[in-house]
Amino acid sequence: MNSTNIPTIDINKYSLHTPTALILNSISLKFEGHGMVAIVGPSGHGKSTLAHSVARMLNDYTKWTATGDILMSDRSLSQWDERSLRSRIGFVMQQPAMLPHTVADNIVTPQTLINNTDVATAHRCASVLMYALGLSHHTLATRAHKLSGGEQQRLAIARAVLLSPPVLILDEPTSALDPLATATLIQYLKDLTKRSRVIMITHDIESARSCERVVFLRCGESQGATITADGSPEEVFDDPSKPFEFQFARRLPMHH
Amino acid sequence: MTLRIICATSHWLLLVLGISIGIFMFVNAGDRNWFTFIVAQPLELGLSGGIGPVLVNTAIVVGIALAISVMTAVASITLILSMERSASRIAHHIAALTRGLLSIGASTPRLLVGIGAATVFGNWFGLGITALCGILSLACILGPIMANGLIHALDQQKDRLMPTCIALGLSMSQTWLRYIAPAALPGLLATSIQCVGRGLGDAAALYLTSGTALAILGSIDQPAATLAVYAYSLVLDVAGGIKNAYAAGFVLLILTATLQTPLIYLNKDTST
Repeated sequence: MNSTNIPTIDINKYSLHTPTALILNSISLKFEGHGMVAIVGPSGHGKSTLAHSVARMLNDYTKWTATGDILMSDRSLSQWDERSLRSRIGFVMQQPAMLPHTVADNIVTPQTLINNTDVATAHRCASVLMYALGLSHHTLATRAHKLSGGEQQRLAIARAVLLSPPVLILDEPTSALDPLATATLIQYLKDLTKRSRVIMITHDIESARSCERVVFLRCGESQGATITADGSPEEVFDDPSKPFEFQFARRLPMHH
Repeated sequence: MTLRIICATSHWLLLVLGISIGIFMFVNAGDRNWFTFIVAQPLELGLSGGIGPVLVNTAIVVGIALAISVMTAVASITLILSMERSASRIAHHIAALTRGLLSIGASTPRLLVGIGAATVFGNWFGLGITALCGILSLACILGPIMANGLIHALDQQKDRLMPTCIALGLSMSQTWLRYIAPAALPGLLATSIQCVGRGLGDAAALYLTSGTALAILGSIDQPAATLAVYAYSLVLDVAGGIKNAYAAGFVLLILTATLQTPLIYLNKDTST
């Protein structure tokens, strides 16, 4: 997939309110072409909410009020039909649910149902990808819910990747992974970005440093999260004129 | 840990209590040929003979009531889920109201439902004391219990699986039919078994609506006693009927225990 097939995501002065609070405050961001971007920030500062918004995965929509817009290929996300949207944006949640079957079924069945891939091909792709993500192919016959948290997380990523969405949003993909598994996953994602756009929500500074762009999101003095830094990892994390981001990257105690 | 010990202790206490009651009823039922008792016709208002026709009546009344309950439960769930998927706030309020009403319905005392059903179906609709009136009153008891149990089982799986299925791009029908409904199946089965158990054991509502006739049911516009009503009326209405009441109670206990046994395995399966 070349860059022209990757839809542009354009977040345009997007704000999100609940009846009692402002969660996101006038967020403007643009993701064009392939590459990997990390959205970083303290816990509870709206990163996952932003990811859910971009993937149109905010549930209980009577609770939220949004202003501004999120565009995909110059069309508002709300105007995309479900099937077209999902074929373009893949989303892996922080705690992904395992489908109540075996590991193989978890990876193979969505491919056969959504992409009409034949079962043998889907199995082959699943085995290759599981190997690439450091998952043993011996686990294929295991019930998915019996896997460890880290294995489930990688399985969920494999499940989403095999559907080949040009944009892949990962919410805390390394939160349950050991350092070795994290490095393997990041290397795999880097390879993946040659043909797709990966948007990764993360707390892991090392993972964020491996992205070519980092967006720092946090609640400022005014209510609601805003973007406080946007640039290369060095520009965001290593600039002493941005003390909050600087300290955050070095895990130094700070006052919000 | 303490909670686990309390739960385990209470389970064992209940089991010991159930077995003690069973032994007590078995001993007080006196010497009898149990096979004959189960298949024979009742004689002398149930003082002697068996419970064959009563068992048939029980199966018919509980079976039809359960079928009606399943239909009403499925209708209620469809209404709730479609309202909850709607963007309209009014639809969400209707769904919340329906859920509330089902919870109230499930916890309403059976005697109260029996009195209500006897008034509405028996008097106002002119059904009198008949099996049909009993079936409808039992459906009024089991319907909300069934709907509550089903919606709880589906909610659990829906909340867990729906976001993942949506994110993967599976259609609603694929999500429901392939994943949510099968995953909710143990819960659905458990609810159905519990409803059969409750239907078998109900005497308060059926005594007032279905009557105490011991003959085998010819049509649903005739009165017909179920097993629990038979035991209940022997104790209340027939002098010296206590032995056969214990025997009927023992059969009821065995039936209920047999039905509930799969629940242990279903609960084990869903807890993993």
